[in-house]
Amino acid sequence: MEELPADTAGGDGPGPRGLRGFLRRLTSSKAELEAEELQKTSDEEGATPIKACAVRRRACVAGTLRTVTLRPRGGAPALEAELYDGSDVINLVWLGRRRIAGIEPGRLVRAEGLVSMQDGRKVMFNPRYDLRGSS
Amino acid sequence: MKHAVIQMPKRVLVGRPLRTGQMGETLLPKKLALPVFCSDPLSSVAYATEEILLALSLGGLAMFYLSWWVGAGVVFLLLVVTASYRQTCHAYPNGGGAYAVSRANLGENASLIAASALLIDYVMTVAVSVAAGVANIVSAVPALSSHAVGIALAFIILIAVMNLRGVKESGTAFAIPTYGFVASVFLMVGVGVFRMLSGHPPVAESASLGIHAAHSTAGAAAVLLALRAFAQGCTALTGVEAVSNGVPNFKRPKSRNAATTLAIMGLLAVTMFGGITALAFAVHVHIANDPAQLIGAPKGYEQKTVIAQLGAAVFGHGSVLFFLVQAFTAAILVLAANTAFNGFPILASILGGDGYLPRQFARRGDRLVFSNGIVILSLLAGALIWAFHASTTRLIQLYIIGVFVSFTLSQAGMVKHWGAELRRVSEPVRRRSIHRSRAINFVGAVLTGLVLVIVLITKFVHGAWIVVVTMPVVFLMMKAIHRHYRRVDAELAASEDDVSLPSRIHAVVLVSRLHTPTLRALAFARATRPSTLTALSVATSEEEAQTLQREWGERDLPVPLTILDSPYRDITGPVLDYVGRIRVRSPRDVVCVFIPEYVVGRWWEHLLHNQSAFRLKARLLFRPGVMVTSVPWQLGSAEAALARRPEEAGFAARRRVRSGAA
Repeated sequence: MEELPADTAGGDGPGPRGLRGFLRRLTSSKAELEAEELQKTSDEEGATPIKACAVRRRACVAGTLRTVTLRPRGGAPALEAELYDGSDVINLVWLGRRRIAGIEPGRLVRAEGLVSMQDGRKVMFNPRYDLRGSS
Repeated sequence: MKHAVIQMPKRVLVGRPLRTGQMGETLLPKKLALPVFCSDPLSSVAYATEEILLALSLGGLAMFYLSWWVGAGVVFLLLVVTASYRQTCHAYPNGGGAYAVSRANLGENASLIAASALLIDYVMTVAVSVAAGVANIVSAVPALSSHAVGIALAFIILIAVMNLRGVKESGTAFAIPTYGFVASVFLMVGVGVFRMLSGHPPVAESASLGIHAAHSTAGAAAVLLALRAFAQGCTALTGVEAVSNGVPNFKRPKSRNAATTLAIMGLLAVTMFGGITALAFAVHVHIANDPAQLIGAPKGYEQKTVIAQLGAAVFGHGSVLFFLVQAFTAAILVLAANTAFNGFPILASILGGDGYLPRQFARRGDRLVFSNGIVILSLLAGALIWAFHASTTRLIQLYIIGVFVSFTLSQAGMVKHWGAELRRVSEPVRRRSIHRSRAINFVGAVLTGLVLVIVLITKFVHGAWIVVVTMPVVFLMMKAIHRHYRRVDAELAASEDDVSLPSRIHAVVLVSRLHTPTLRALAFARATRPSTLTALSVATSEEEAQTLQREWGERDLPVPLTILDSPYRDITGPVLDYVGRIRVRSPRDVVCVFIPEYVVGRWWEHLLHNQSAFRLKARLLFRPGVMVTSVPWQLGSAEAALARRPEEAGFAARRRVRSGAA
């Protein structure tokens, strides 16, 4: 979260055109490029940028799964994944599931559910999800 | 085995390592200290006369009558400087010479100027004296003249190795040539004087040659020429400072022994220099700065050094004694470098201890000498010789400035030192002797300062500007090093309050595949009981990630496995990113990254393993609040390598029992 490039975090569409835009595309880092691309796909999906998601409201988000964590057996089974759409991250948690085919790191996912806050980060429990072609 | 291969030649060259407690055994008695510290000042008499004559030759043969006066001036200065350095030995028994004196009396900047002058001077001493020695060898055996640079470099390496063996060893080895040179010069002068008195005055081979004047010798030009000759002759003073730098190397009572050695050296140098100059004047040695100035020289005539001409004139060309004089002269000229090899490391160690040079200079090597200083000195001097093609006259131009800067500063510092003493002491007897000492130092400071100015003026265009440029560079470098050390020290200083304990440790174990090293790292991480524990893997391909997930599930490991997406297929970036994003609840939380690592026994195996782990480790170390723990896994080849080293065989045996751990 701390690593988000400041100028792309607003999610205000494509950057400037012309020479300035060209220079910026040349000099921007990998992370900036990725964020920009993800924001574009999020727009195409018609999803809300995570940054703009209000807490305790249903929202539809789209982005790639940055991490997927397997909980060990023993505790309450849950599958956790982090969805990044170029503006912010949201944790997707599927309670009662240990594994979902297709929920893998790098996968493009569209998820819909109630956004809540836990320890200062956005979480969505048991979201409805669509797997999109791998990004 | 690798160990033994490195160890053996070092043992052969340098010798058995000495214990620190054996320090006392390496101290020098006077009879050994003389060759060690005085080979430089004594050797300079071998070329000082020649330098005077070369400078005078610019004004033609008529100017040679001035050599008397110039010689007398040099002798006077030599006596004054020797006398004042004797006092330095008593006042500053910890060594460091001009640097220590000016640090105590004139402040940091002056001391650093003195130090940079001395450092450059030492490098020059090695280069000049070796080049001069080689020039003398070439003078005797002209066939070698095309290999001068190679011979000079070989000598530097030889002296460096001897010095790495220890001060006392090198002193013993170099005593014979030093005393031999002194004896041979006295013999030569004595026989020359005897032949003159008995009515068969020796005549130099160049006595019949005339010399064109290259400069005008009217009025001011003659004075300038005389001054330049005086400045050239002052090379005879170089090396006098060496004893005062190396006082700690003397046997007890250190100061008194050092001062006595200095007095003996001063007397020897004065009589030898006076004798050679007088003899050169008496037998009409004619030598020209530029061979083209010679009148009436036979075709193919090559100018020999003054010592060579004197030896040939006194003993006869080709006689055994002539070659003996030549051999000893060459030997002492080369050995003069040895003095610098003692002075430079000591000075560098003092500077290193004070934080003006890298601290490693202050560390003693296997044989209780400052090995790093010796190695650096020989490298610098070798480079200088190579750059100047081992030419003595060209190198001496650079040389004398550094010496006189340090002379002037140390004398001025002593004047101030005595001033401070005078304010403290009240007994009249003691005060009178202090007044006398101060007067000596004052005369010395004025005279050496004068010579410095003359040298700067007369030699600036002849190459002295190189030193004038180099000295500030060295000065600024030492200042910068000191500033850096001070800044780091201030940053690292332990503050009053204790360092607070980390409140939580978030452990991350890096997993690439599920194998024994990973499992061992996991087991170790769990045993350290961190607040949170995650296994981290980067999915560079989908199949690998799936295999890992499946195996993880099958093994039923009680640690959550997080798989990171890596859109650009690199491993380092996502891990760094993840570590940066770990939820840190308080600034006192730390992240501990466990990296399983293979330890390999052969060099080429390094190319095949651990590449990404090393890269990751290097990057993680820059992150604040991140600890990196390597969990090593010794491969079979590493175990074999361990067993090959006899001193670590015990470890290897214990390791074999362990095999099942984790």
